[in-house]
Amino acid sequence: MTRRKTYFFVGLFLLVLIAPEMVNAQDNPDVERFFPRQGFMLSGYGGAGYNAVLGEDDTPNNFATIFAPIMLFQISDRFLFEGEFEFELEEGVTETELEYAQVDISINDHFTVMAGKFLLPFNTFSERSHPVWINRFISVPGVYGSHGGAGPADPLLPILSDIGVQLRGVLKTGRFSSITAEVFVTQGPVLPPDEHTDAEEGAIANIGAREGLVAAKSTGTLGDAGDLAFGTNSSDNNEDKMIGGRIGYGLAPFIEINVSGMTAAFDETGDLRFSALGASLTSRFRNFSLQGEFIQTWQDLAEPEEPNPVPFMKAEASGGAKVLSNEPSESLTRSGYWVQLGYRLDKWDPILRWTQIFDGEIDGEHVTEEGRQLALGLDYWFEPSLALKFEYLINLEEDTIDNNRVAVQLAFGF
Amino acid sequence: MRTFAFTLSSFVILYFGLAFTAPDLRAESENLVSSDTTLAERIGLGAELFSRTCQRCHNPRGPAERTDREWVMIMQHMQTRANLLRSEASLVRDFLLASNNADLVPGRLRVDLQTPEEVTDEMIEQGRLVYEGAGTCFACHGAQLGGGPIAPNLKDDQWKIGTAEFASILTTVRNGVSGTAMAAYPGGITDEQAQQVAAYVSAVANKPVE
Repeated sequence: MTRRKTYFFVGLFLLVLIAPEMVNAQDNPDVERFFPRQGFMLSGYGGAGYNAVLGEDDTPNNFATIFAPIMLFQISDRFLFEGEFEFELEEGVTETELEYAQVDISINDHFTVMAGKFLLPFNTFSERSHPVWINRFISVPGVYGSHGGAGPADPLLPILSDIGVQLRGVLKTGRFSSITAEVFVTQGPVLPPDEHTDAEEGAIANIGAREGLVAAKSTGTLGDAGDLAFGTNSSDNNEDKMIGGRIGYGLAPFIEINVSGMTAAFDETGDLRFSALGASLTSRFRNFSLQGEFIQTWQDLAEPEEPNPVPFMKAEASGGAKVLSNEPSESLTRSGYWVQLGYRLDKWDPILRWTQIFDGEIDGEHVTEEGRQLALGLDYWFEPSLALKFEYLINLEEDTIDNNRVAVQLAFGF
Repeated sequence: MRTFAFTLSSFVILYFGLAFTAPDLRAESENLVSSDTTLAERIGLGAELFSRTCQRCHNPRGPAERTDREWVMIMQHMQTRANLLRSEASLVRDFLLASNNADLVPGRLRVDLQTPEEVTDEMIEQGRLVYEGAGTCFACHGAQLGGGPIAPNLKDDQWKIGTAEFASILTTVRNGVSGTAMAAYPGGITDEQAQQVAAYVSAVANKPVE
């Protein structure tokens, strides 16, 4: 047994030891008197809308709908099970996804352990803002690739949820300010075993940085494109789990800043790594709201052993087969950010979002296109959790300029 | 990249080390609620947390939108989602339950309606104390009654619900406003306190602009 596995099983054993005490602990006797010990409730969100692509792009306009029930099952006042399914019908295809299914164990006033599939604490959009009744826009910021993202360029990350364990902590630094931290260990990204990558699972393109260059499949042959998949339902393909964390400071509601990071190997031998760093800011002052995130990713690219190598790579003859070695030769670096400004005017919410994804680089050489997008939005709130949203996406690059679109959506939380 | 990862992991380790050991930082949490904290104070703190925390991500929902049992579960869910201490989540829960159970709180039985003529300066002063304290009104409407992202200005002449008259404000305080965070008897105040705070807000709202 490897040392890593030993640590894992020791941790699991300790969790099993403390679990019964956690389940039975009741520190809210007043609540206990009035309510049954266990409870169940259905919550969630949904929306229905219409997307129209402008310009010369021949993508047909479409109605779209989303329904995401969230189930909460309270086992005790320290144990909560929660899960979210997501059903999305767009362009004639119904996508289903288990967004998260997790157990929250409140260890004490400061710390909570999560286990299962959870939204990753990487920046804050994935974890808190992606539900359609919370996200002020219909689309997600272009740096993210799922949930209706209509990005200006290939996304950097999907809305991230993954299977594993997480420890969360809160420390107060003042009456309404705190320092927070999360650490997590999850399965991490994998290269799917076949050419097909399921978009529902939040795949991002392991971009063919130049013609003929695609990411490694450690034992396979080169496909059309190598895609990394996060939060897949398949088993991990190596022993190297994703490790990550986030640390932040918040003074509610005026400011919250977070710095996040994560890293994992994604090939079968554990030689090729994917890493990401993020920084986020959320601020509210009077009727103004400001939100923004920065993301940078590094993704190792394998050295191809093929007869027709990309010139800058050290290729080895391999008898004509398009086989990749497991040695990382270069790393593709990508980065981008988005920032959103809103102003609440009674029931109206005019909003503005700017997204920019920079050129991808391999050893300082630009290999992917830059993407810039301006989004204009206007929401009308009938109720605190019921809004009619309008959105106009303007792509500013020449090759995406015909993909501008307008959209309308009725979004609700229940 | 490695340097940054090392720095980040160092901070995380330092953080959890502090969390388990540093008495000063932990004391900040414990100061918020102690064994001497009364129910009214808990409800007041809960209202302020509700106002400050929920709006970071979404519009706060009105207490009447959920049953008591549902709020208990929701606050357990929001404890982790909003990075609250468990004790803080309990405070918000207490505020929501108190707002939903106005009739169960002792002293909540309605007393005779005070007419505007019966409003005294002492009543207005008591109302100010309720506004800034047990009634938790300041948490959403602002200490100077100037309003905020989730609650209107109370000192101008633009009234979304009713008017600036005493009876109209009292009706709102007693019944709440459906579909908003404005709860009936906010903070679990008594009917007498509701009249006092209505007198205070009415007095400020009707004061000529200088």
